[in-house]
Amino acid sequence: MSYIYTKRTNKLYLQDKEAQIVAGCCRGERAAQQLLYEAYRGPLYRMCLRYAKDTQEAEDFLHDGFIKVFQDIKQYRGEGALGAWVRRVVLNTLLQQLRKRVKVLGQEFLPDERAEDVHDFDELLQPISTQQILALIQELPKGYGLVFNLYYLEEKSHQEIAKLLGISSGSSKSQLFKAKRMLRQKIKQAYPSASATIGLTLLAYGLLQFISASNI
Amino acid sequence: MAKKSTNKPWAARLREWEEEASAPLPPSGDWDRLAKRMMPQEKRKNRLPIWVWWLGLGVSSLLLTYWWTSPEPIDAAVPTSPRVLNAKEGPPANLPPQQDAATIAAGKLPEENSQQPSSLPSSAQHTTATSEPLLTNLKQEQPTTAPRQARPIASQPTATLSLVPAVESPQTTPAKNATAIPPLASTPLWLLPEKQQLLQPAVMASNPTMEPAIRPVKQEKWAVGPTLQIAQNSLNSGNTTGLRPISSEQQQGLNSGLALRRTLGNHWGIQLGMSRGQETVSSRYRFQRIYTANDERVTTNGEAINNFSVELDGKYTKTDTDIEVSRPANQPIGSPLRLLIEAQLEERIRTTQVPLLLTYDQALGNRLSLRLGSGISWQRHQIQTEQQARLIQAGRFQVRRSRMVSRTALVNESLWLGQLSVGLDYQLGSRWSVIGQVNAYTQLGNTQSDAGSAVNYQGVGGQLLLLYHF
Repeated sequence: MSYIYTKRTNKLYLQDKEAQIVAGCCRGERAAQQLLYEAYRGPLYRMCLRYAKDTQEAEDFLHDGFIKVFQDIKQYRGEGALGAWVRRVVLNTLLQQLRKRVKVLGQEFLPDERAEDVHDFDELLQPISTQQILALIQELPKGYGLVFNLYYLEEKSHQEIAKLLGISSGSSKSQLFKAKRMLRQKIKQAYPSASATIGLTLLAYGLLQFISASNI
Repeated sequence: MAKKSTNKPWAARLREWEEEASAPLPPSGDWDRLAKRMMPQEKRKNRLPIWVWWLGLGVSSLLLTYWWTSPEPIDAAVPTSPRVLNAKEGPPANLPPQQDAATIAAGKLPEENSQQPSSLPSSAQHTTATSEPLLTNLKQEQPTTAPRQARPIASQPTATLSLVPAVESPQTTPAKNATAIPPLASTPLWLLPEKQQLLQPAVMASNPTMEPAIRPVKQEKWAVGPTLQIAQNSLNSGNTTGLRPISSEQQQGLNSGLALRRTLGNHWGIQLGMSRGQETVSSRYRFQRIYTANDERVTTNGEAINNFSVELDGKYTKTDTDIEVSRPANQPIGSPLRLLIEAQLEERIRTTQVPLLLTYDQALGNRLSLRLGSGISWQRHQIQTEQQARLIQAGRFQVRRSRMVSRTALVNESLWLGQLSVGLDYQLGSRWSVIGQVNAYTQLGNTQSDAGSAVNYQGVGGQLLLLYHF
């Protein structure tokens, strides 16, 4: 069996040949495995970058995930999109590796501090580029970054995160809160102009509201 | 479970960026690395340097050759029985030619048959006529009918052990005489004390034909016993990506096991061991971070807190370390400070060691001997538990919290080590001996393993062996 891989049209090609590739992977054919890897490595690598500290660790996560994919490929029934299934397997493998750290973190970092105002967090992130946001997430401690990723980018609820990581829901909330607070501090330090822009915008908005309310 | 919808624009941007084709890709050659990792584990384990196999084959061949060509230790060292002497060299001076053998076989004291002249018999006295009845007597009484309590040689050592050069008389050692005497291997057990008598240093010293004194315990071919070893090793990790320790990692622990020894001649021996134990790999790290007031966050109770993160590369694990240090917020710091942080990582491993040594013994006294050994040792290290990590200090700042979480980078590894040993062997009794020795190891080649593997492994160990000889 031979495979032709065209990078520009890989998605269309995979959709047509998906069953053939899966069958090749089930037989352990290295060519089919390579084709599957080449098709999905980009998005999944960038997903792993969010959870990893550096590119080396991200590549390790990616490789561990694909090894699991190749081991479990027989379980794929073709009921959903192959890409979504591969992503789910890679993410679960990655989370399994990170779970131990979060357990320890959950024991040591129970919520013990007074809540602070982090409502301006989303506005702070708006003017920052994607790569800069990724760098900020990577700088977070592992536990913070893990919960942050799962909550905002995988759109998991705190209950789901708690179940995935084996921690309490309260710990998940605490981690997210601290992650946001740390991110805010980092943004303010790294991008003071962004903070100033947000502050000036809010000030201008408040002034306009005040002016309109007082009919000046 | 209902999923929340964050609906954050920045999150949507990030997700879109992940799907973009122009976004970063894994480094080139990533598929080759993945394919290499997917190779069967057995193939990767077998990647020992070829010279190790050739060395092992050569050593094994030499040992086997030596084993098969070396003389029998007892036969070569001492004439163990007067009967053997008769068969080989002739009769002793103060006994008639066949009488000693016949006496032994009959279980009689020499005095009972001392009718023969005690001086060296002339060749005329050794006639076929005189020897035939004795032979007949020997053949008749040779079966194990001799009473066990009568041990003539043991009770009269001087009469039987005064050995003289062989008497040149073809009649005294006819071929059928020699064949009539059972070989040493078939000697009845009750004759064994005579061997012990022959091995007495005084007796052996009086006989110039004997080799130097050999302790009786050395006559046993096999020995087995427990071993206990305290190891102190030094090793350097390679292929690390995180923070490396400030000095070589120290591996220390205790091993216990069994050793089996086979004597090869008077001085040489081969010893195979197998021991298991637990050892701890300790790594000490020191790193610097810049502490600036801008990075601080002030809590409500007046503490200024700062966070630092570092990845520590242990031998078997990689440890993400997050350190939170604090200081009183009301004490301002001017310029950024250089913060010196020290940490220690301890990994517990289970070790299995199989040493194969060729040893040489040199007697230093009646009971003591020097033992030198050389050989190879196979070691397997397997990480046993989660490592322990602790923060030692962070300058003058108070360590508020520290979190060290490790992930295993290397589950187990196998090493081939060259081993040299020197020790003292002290004989405790007729069967037991105790050996204290110092072993020095150095790794042969590099370890074929993932990141964090040992590329240089050296160590020493103090070993105690208690051997039972049989």
